[in-house]
Amino acid sequence: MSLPTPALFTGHHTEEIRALASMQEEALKKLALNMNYLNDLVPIGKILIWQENQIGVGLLSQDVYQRCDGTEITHPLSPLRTIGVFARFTPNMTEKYLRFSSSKTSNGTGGSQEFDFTHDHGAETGPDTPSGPLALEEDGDRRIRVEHTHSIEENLGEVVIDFPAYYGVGAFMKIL
Amino acid sequence: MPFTQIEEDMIQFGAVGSTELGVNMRQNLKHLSESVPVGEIVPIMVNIPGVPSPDPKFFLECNGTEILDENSLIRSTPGQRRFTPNLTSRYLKVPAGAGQVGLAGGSNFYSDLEHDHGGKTGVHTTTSDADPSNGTFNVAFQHDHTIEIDLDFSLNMEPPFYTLKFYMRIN
Repeated sequence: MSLPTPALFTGHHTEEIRALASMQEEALKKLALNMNYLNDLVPIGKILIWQENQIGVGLLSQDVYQRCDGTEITHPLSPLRTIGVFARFTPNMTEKYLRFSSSKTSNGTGGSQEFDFTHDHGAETGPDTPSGPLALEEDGDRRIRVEHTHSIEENLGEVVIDFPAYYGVGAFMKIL
Repeated sequence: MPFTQIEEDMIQFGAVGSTELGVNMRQNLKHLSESVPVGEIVPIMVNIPGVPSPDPKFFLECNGTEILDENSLIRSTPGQRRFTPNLTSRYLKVPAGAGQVGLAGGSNFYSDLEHDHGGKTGVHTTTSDADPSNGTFNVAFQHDHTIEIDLDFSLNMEPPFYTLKFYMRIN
């Protein structure tokens, strides 16, 4: 018979651990294997997307996760930590959107929210001959039609665009 | 503490290492629990045949739904209603500071490309080439010049995307 899934995780006390000694080997082995299995589901390097400001979520374990803000990984037990001159850092995701990469080696950044919309409608409007009434020479009116153009300025240069629609989330990397 | 991989030879009934094994398992459980914190947002491909619906006891869809599960630490209380974040049609963005987590903004449409190139268009009068010596004069000739519009006023500027369902861990 399968056990029901508990609603909450509950810690274990030393007395309970001592009681493990009386467990049957097979059951103990199964428990351990399940634990190994679960650990493989949350690998080191995993990026945790976390709603950290939600009231009630508590604190994140600093032993397990570090914020993805480009800070150095110094936890002494982390395999991702700085060793000697080889400094290692969490990825800096500040002000970035998350994007899937098909390349295993690509952890790069890119894109921008600043765009240069500078463009040109032509230096000037085309020559135009006014199409008003003809000169009324008989009245001494000697109007002429003068070909002329008007210059056009460039406009809409660099623009910062706040898109796409987003929701701010915390990003953390599993370091241990 | 890091997760301690438990090898088969560590499990021997009645062996001296039993207590050590127990301690390792306790620490492992704590580690695993901390690895999947309440509030985690998880994308799940629920549309693939065979993928089960996430257990609502643990995961609620991030569509602004109220958190009512009685065991959840982040559930609504009599004095304060609480909801999952509404991520509908939104991209996930890591803000500059933790204080901005939970804030929404931006737009998938941009509609402020209207602009002015200056210059003169529309009806106006000519003012050049007058030469009274040969009997020509400037007189108002009404005419206009046109400039073509070349940018739409509302563009969908979403980057390439793939839609997923997002769920938040509530327990």
